[in-house]
Amino acid sequence: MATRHILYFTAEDHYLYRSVGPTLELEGKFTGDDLGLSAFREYLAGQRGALFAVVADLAGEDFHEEQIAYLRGADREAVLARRLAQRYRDTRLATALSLGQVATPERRNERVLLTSFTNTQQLTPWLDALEEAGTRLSGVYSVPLLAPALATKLAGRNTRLLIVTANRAGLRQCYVENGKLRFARLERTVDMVPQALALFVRSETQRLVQYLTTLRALPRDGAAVQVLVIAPPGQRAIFEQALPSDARLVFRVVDFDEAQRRIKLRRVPEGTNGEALFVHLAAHKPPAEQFASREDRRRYFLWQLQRGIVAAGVAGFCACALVGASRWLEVMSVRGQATEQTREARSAAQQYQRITSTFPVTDTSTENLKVAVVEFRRIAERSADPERALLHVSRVLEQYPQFELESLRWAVGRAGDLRESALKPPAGSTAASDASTVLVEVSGRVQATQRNDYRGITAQVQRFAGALVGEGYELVRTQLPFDITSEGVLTGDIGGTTETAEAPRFTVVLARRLP
Amino acid sequence: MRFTRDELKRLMLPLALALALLAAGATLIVTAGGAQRSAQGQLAAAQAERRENNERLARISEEEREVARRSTSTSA
Repeated sequence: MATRHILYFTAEDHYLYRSVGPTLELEGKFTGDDLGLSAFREYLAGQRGALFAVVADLAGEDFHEEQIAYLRGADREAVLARRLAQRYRDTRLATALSLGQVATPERRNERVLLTSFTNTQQLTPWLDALEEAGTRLSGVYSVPLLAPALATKLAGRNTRLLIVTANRAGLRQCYVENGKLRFARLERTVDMVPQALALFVRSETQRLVQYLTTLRALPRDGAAVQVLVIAPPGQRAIFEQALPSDARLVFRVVDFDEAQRRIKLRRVPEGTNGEALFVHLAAHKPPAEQFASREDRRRYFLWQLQRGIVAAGVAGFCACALVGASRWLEVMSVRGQATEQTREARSAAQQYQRITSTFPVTDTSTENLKVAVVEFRRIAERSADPERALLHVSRVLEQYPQFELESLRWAVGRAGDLRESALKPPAGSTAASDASTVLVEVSGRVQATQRNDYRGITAQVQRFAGALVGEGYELVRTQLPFDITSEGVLTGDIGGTTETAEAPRFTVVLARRLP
Repeated sequence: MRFTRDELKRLMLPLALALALLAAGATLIVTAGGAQRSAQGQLAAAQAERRENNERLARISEEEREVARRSTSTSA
């Protein structure tokens, strides 16, 4: 936290405090004359760039309430500057405090409290010294400007509150209404015993209330005014005894130590009075309203801007770091998932290895084996089997008991090869001579039929041949026991005289194409 | 409020610092994004490998069962 120097400015002496965190230290004391100013300049010689603020606690502070048209921005500033210039001869240390809006039948107005010091000349050489030394002036405050902040800390936002403190400069009374300063006065005090000081507080408070009532700042028949008195350390009981409440004034005494705790001020220099509270607030909770001009505060503004830029950079970095961190967390999560998946994949691979290790050892790969098996199955499907043909012929023969099987020849091969081996394949297969074909030649004799019954024998053989057709088999040729074509000679004796005792013989040839 | 040249010079260092911080933050995000993409790629590869191994395992298990069944029927 930056160290701040606060010059507590009174009519006689000026005290320079240093505020570091919750502690306040007295850096030096300067008399209000030229000697003191010279000493102050010497002190400032080594304070270039240091942060300074001025808290004035002077008797000649003017407060004047006015109404201006409700404006914003540059127009408001121009109107306020004009009003300040009309009221005060020197506007270097003058300011206007907003007291809120007020609605009139014609237009909306803003109530403002114009305030300045009646004698700014006592302050200006000191401000010039700060400027010449290259310090950063954060603001020029008066104790009344800081009173609302103290009142809020100690008593909340009371409607009407008088806050009374005994400072080095004297007895300070500030009237705060709805958290806004309305009036303040400083009454010089001499060293007096606590009892006398308490009585002085009472009398001065009554005088101020009377004055405010006269000004109509306080309603004549309103509720009792809350008076918050900050008693010097250890004098609370005396003050409470001397300040009984009545119908007009309700006194509440707060010990200085308690007030310190409430504004988080831990340590103050020896001999410090109520002004320490205001000095601490000027360092840590300065109000927006103050007396210094924009030019007087230029270095401070630049310093704030520098810090603001760096803070924006830090904030941006923090935001990026948060986004980056969230992404890195996701990365870690995804990597964890990937590790888990890899572990499962490895486990599956190991299981695969374990299973394949139980298989017989082969000189070839599993893929080659698979190809071989597939090829084997394909060949097996295309390979012929005599069993099927025998079953087929057997089934047909069971239906024709008069047929006696003499021989059955089964052959498989290409159509061309079969032609060469005197087994004539089907006529259609000549075109596709490369196709494999199964040929079945069935030879037998026809029993239980008269040998000279040509028509009966022919019909039976043809029925038998027709029954053999099916299940993929086609009839290739049928050889009857006699020739019924025009090519041969028709005789009346089947098979001649030598074969008269034998049954007529026939041959049926079937073919089946393999896929 | 207008700044003098000297004042602008004084603002340069904080500005550079802020920009450096922002650049560092952006780098952090970009790096994290790259790592995120890489990790997602690794995850996808690991998932594919696991899926493939599981399929191989399922096939080989089925074949193992088939071999066992056939050997049992043959011996019977």
